Amino acid sequence: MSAVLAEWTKLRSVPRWIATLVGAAVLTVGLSALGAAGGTTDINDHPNFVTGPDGDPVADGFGFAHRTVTGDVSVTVHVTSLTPTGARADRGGPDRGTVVPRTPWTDVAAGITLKDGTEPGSSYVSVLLTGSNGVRMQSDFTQDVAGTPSADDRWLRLTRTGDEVTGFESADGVEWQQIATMTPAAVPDTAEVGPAVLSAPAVYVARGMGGASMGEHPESAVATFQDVTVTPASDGTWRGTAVTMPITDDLIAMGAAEAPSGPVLTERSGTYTVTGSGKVGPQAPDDDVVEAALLGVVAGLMALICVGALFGTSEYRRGMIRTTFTAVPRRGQVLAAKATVLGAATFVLSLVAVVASFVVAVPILQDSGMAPPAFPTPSLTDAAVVRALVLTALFMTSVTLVALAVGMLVRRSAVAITFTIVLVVLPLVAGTVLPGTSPRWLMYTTLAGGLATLRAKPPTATLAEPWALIGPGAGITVVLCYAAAALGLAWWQLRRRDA
Amino acid sequence: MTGALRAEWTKARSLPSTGWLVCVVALGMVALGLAVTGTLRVDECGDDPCVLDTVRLSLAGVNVAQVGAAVLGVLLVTGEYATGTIRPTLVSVPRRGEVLAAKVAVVGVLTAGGAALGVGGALLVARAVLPSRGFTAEAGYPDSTLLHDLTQRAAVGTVLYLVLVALLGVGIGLLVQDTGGAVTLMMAVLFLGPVLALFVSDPDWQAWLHRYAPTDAGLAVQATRDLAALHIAPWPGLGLVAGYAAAVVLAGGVVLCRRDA
Repeated sequence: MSAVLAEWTKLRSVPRWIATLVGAAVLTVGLSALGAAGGTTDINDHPNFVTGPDGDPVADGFGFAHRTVTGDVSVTVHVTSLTPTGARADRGGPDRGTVVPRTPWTDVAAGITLKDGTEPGSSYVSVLLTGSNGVRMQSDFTQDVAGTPSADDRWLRLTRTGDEVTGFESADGVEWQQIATMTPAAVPDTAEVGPAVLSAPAVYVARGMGGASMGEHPESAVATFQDVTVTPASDGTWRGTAVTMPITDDLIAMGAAEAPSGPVLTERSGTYTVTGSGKVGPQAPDDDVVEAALLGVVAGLMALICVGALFGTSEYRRGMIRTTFTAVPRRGQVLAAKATVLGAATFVLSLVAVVASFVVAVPILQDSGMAPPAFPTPSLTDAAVVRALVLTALFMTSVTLVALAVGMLVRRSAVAITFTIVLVVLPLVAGTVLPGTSPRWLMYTTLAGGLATLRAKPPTATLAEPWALIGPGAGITVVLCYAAAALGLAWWQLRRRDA
Repeated sequence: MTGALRAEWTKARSLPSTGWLVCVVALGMVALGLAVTGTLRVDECGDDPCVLDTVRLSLAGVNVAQVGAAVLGVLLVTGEYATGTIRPTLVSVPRRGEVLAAKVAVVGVLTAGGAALGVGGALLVARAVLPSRGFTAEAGYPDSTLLHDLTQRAAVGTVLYLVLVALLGVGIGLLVQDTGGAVTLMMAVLFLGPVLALFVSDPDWQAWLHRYAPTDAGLAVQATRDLAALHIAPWPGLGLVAGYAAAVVLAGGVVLCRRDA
């Protein structure tokens, strides 16, 4: 305990260090605010999305063969084929960079949809047979439950009882198994129901030479449905509608393509052939308000690394280390005390700095365009925001401890500072220079991966920043491993070597 | 002046760190260049028609080499303040401008030597490696040779850039006088621009950062293809870095002359 007290006295009695620590926090907040004031986005003026039932940005485009039903209803179909047509079928392999893997929300799919009319963005519930993600039941652009991983032809059923809708699937139309029961937000008593086909655009990412460029190619698919039954039997005819996103001249100028024209629905002796193009699912931009609000972290981190390294090396420069070891002969204890004091001080300061950055920068970002509906307002009570802020503070703390340990190991401040900073920033610069090859492995092996903690949104391959390739859990694990390894090595050398 | 030069040269060469840092400059160029060219494949780039700037990629080691150059410049100044040799230095050469000029000359020559070795080595390595990765004359990638004027510009420009970075280090070392602070500041000068450009989503701000951040502006001189896409032209970019370096060294000189050592 007295060792901790001694280290705390050393840390707080060097005015330059205290100034740098506080300066790191001020730098973080100030640069974050400055960066937030700089960038502007016009995505809300030129949206590539519509708003879903809860106000979030969504994509809603598919081929819909539908009829109007009222009250409780059950619809059964037998999906006998699902064939991608157009671009995806033609393309042998990626020729414009890497294809972003298909998620349950961006797959080709055929099934039954129950929807509030045919306006894009309206409430719905679906059971779908997808191309590579098995059977899914989805609702309102947010809920997604997996059925069996089946890819063969499949019988699907959607049953509505009051507000609840239950999805079933079957291999033969005789033995049925339930997938899930969902309550869509706003499907009224009288709604549209019937076979649906969707095929999300393929997304290609080419990275290298300082950025990532993303391209989208619209795709379409054809599915055949047999044994289509609606109970209670309702009269009326099936109508085919291509549910499409509103497309403006702005979007066409930016490279968006109009949906292919042609009949959505053809029927021959009980076999319904439906053509569809588009994606039904969340369409939030990959850019992250929380990450943008923490722009200053890298600069603050450099100042923290400086203090961390000097806290280790300056004892050697002044010969103070001998006094320290005379007072506390157990050297492991000295290192533990140093790490505790520096870690605690850094964590508190970093947490204050990132929370302040968030509070200051988010309103500025919203003024400059990162606003709802494209970017829902993040709140300090969101689990994802709390995770991002706490993990970012932990990331800054761990890197500072790496600098301390390297400082104790090499005893030269220039080497310790340079080594640690380079380990954080060089992979980022190298990752943008290298063409083609994914910089993902660099993120998994260097301190740069820790920047993944800044993001509140899930990982994505579509952004220029390489740290968005990995998740926050992986990022913080890499940094914690570095800190543990560096401190362990320093402890071992401290016991072995002369001071 | 000769005496001041000899004194600075003796101080520089008798420090073990000097040799190491010149090695970082030379070997960093070659090693990272090899890591890049050795993992490159001709069919890997995204947009078509696509041409990779193989000369620039072979010289990617400058990202590591500049760290060595910066620390070399800083240490030859702050080392004197840390050990106190600055006082005997100023006693024996009372005209402080002469001390500064001698330091600049020694740092410049040392960095230029390491950088020339590194750039030459990196280009030789690239020339040996690239054909086996598919970058042949038939594929549109003739051997990089110093006879080609764009390659020449990239090579000479890279050496000059590294010298300017080392001089920036001298200037910041004189201004800060403390090793830790000066090294941290140099790392921020070199890397903050490119990293912040990754954060900023607004293309105007990105372009502004690429144009005025020292690393991006200075390394425009390495481009040999697709010159129209550069944010700042090659020589003006390097000229901007020269301006930064001159301003910082002059400010450092003023501090050296005015402040007590």
